[in-house]
Amino acid sequence: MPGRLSRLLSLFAVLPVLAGCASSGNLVSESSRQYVREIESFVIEDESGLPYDLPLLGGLNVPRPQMHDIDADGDIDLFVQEETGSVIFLENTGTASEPRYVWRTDRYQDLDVGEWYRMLDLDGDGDIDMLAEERFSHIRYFRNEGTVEKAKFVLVVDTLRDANGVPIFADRQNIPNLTDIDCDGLVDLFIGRITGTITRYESIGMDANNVPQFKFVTDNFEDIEIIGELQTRHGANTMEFGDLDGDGDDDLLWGDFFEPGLLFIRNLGSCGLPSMRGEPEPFPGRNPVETSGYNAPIMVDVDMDGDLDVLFGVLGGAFNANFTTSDNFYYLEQTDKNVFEHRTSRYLRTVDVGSESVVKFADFDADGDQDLLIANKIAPADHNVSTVYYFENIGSASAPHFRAMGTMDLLATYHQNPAIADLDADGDLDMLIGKWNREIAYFRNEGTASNPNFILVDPVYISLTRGSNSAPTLGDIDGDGDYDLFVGEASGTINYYRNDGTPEEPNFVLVSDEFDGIDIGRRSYPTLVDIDDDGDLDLVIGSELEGLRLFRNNGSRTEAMFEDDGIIDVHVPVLATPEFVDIDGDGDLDLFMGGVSGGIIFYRNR
Amino acid sequence: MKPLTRNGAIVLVLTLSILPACAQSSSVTNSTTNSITISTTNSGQSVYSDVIQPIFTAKCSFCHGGSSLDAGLSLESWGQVMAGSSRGAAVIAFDAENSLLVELATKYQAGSHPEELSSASLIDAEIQQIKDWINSGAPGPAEQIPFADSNDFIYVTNQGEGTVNVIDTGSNTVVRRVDLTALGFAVMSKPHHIAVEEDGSYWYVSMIAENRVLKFSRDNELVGQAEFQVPGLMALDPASDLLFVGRSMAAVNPPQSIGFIERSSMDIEEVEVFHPRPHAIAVSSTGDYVFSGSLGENRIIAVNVESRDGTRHSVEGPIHTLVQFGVTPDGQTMIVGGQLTGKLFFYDISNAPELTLLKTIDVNAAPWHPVFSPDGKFAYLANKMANTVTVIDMESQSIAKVIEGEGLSQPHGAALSASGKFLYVSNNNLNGHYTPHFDLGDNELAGTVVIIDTHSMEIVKVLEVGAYPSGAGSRRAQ
Repeated sequence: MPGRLSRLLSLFAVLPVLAGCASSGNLVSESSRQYVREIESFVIEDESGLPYDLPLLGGLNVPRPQMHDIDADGDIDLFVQEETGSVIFLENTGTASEPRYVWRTDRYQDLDVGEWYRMLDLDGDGDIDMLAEERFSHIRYFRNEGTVEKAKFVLVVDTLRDANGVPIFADRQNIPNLTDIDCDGLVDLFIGRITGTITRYESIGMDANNVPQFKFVTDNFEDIEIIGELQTRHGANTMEFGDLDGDGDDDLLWGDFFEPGLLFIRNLGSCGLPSMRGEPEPFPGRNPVETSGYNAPIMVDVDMDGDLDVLFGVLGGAFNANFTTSDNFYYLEQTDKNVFEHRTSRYLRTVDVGSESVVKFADFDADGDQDLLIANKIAPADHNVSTVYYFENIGSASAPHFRAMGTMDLLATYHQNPAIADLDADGDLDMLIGKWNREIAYFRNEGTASNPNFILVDPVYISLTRGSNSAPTLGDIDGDGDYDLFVGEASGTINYYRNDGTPEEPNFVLVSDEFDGIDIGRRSYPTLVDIDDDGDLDLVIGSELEGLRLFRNNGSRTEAMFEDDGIIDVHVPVLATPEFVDIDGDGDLDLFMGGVSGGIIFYRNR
Repeated sequence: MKPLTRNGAIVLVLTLSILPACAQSSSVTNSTTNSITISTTNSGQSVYSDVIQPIFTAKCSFCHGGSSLDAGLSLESWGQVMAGSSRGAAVIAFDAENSLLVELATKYQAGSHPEELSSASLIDAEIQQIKDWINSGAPGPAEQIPFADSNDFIYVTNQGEGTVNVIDTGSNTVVRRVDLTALGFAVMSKPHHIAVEEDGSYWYVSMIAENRVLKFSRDNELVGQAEFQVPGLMALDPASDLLFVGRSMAAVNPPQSIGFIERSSMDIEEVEVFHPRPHAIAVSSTGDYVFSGSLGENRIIAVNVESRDGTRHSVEGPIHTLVQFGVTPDGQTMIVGGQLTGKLFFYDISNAPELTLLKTIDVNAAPWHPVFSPDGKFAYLANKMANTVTVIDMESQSIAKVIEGEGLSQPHGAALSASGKFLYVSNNNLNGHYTPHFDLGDNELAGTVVIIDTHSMEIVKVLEVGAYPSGAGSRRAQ
């Protein structure tokens, strides 16, 4: 086998029949099942051996950062919006100048922030308040009714209105900004428009309910009209005001759907009399950044050296967002006055293979512990294929430690979805690979359990009756000693293929392409697992938006009878792809998931 | 919603305060609404004949009667009133607020018309009578509702105010304005694009900020809806029950899928397209394939409608940002413009899902929504950043003409009348490139619909409509 795969295959070892099926294993009783989200439970290293700081954060595709010292401990904490409607909170447990972020929650205070949020002290009480999107395209106000040490955000107004009582409109894809642009002590609100102009509202203080009041000033702030590098509009934009050049007044950074970098508009006036009528300049001047566009910047003194640095998330604009599904959180450090150095494009180092990740575990080297595969939808560096990454468990069955060992060169197709089992009863692991369409390929291991050699037997071994995003999973559902096949797909239904062959020679026969009438909404991603430890396989199905749904097998090991048991009570990503495995050797099944953001999400079963 | 067809007897509702002006009216007081319902007049004539026409005759005929027709508008008869002026409709039935006749009397910054011309002014009671008459449907002498029997309409969204213009292709006037806010949708619900059944029985509008597609009857009654995140452009397959819908720009990270809507039930299925921001959308003439193009990468996918199988295609060159497709009536060729490059691509789609690039030409900046003449000889597309409309000779696959002129200001959508005689181009005018003829105090950025005679390829009329006109649709399958 050529290239990287041959490097990988040397790692494989002998494996007992069926034992490698990722979803098999003994379970504690369901009543004791308690899933707890963990981010740094074990070490995962990149190919150079450098551990990821936050390996199980889940990946980032569209990070929208904000930074504030939310706990008044003298360092700056980090908030990141990745999903619509929620904010990830990472507490800085390091120092002011050398931050170390520790994940605290994916849903900070359960605040529904729509598509954006901005944090600022709006009521002048010394703590941080928040504006966010009120769905759709209006503004809601959260007041901090806690303290500077312990924030407590309370929704006060769900539709912020201007001084005339008119709801303030802010296209949800255009992220506003707040600053006191004229240094009069009152906060101004700026909203980008799809025309490339900026609407300004000026604070006129608080109303009787202590809600900030904004008076409409102009739809053409400073006559700014951003039309982007390619002289076009009809887009989406973000902006950030801050004194980037340290001259005592606020400048402007602008990100735009049609702008691959950031645009800088210097304030040539003063704090009391801003003047921002100069030409937008690519930023940083000496070496402008270039991404897929639609960059969402913030200015913050990340390293606490007295000047503002720039962090920005890449939301993905006109310049092919697939390029930036992994590298999308930039840190530009201001190292000298107006000199910015690109420090990283992955400010949070987490396992992130792109988008729509699929996570699978199996003992690929037959050393008794679970190794890890993680696949993406489309490779960020090659838009014609997806990539399957292999992480070898160099730890143990009870103390895992993973190291990236390259990629598997399997299929030149999108969205490879492996299902792993010994399909020919020869003692090693074979694979079915679902694809972006309705096809499933079959790879037989013609090596050994410890040194596999996957040979493509049939690129279209199974073809669903219709649909796309075939997502196979294997399990002996009828107790006849061979693997049967369940396949999810884009429509949200389940295809059931019974193995009418033998353990040595499978013959998958379609029983139903709408098995049991199951419809999970969209993007069904099934896994067969004995979740209640009663000796038969239950069915857990991931979905696009409906979470993880459990169909409990209330039949028997030989005669399955699945009944809808509802949603498993964990927060899951969009396009959740569940995988159960006892990763810590404590006898119960832990839960892993891939998702739209391209990383790994882990819930330990405690 | 205001019907286009009559439905039972005409009933006019006039407010109590202006009743004294209607000396001949008989009335029944409604204590709940403090209004008076007038079902007829003492003379046995209609409200139009007894009340409205006398006002026009007394106050307006000097300039809008006989041989003197300012702006081409005659107010001497109901039919002539409804024919409108050279600037469009004088009256929009059921919508006094947006009827120019009322606007000029109440909002004209130069002074109330016709008083600003030193003519006798319309008194408040007369204005109210006219408004009430319009809001009741502007019925004629025989109580007929204007344009109730018309069957060829162009629908143009006013994305910036939550309304839809209904333009009659016979008179080339706006004959209705469908107010979506009256149905509970937000002013900024952002109605974006329109699709119309071939027989005109139903029309569909994508509501970006409401995350749904609405279905209306020909009488503008809301009859169904389908939920779909940030719906944008649509393509209707006249040969089947399916309506296809893509995504608009208005989301940070919209799903990479398009919608298959069963029009009869408005049930929707989302189908993967594997590229970011699926925007451009079209259906093959056979209905076998739907095409989706990305705003975020140079990709087109042809999706088999039956199997949902997709075949992906790359578009060579720099980032183009594909805006919208057009398919020739014979189903052989598809064109699509690149927003960032001003390129227009010609594809042979006769062997779909395979696409064969036939030719690429340069056109003016930002080629937007293309449509085809009924015989397929010409394609028309707006150039949003050039304020022009390009006419493409499809035989030579070259530019036949570039149309410029009044009213073209950020041209966006395009639609043809059923016969193909007129082309209607919506214009955002968000930058105020076009100045409305009348300053009404709140219409500085009013958009337009420019009407082009497809034979002469000349602009024949400019309709001033609402805020941010965007998508346009007609019975002609696009």
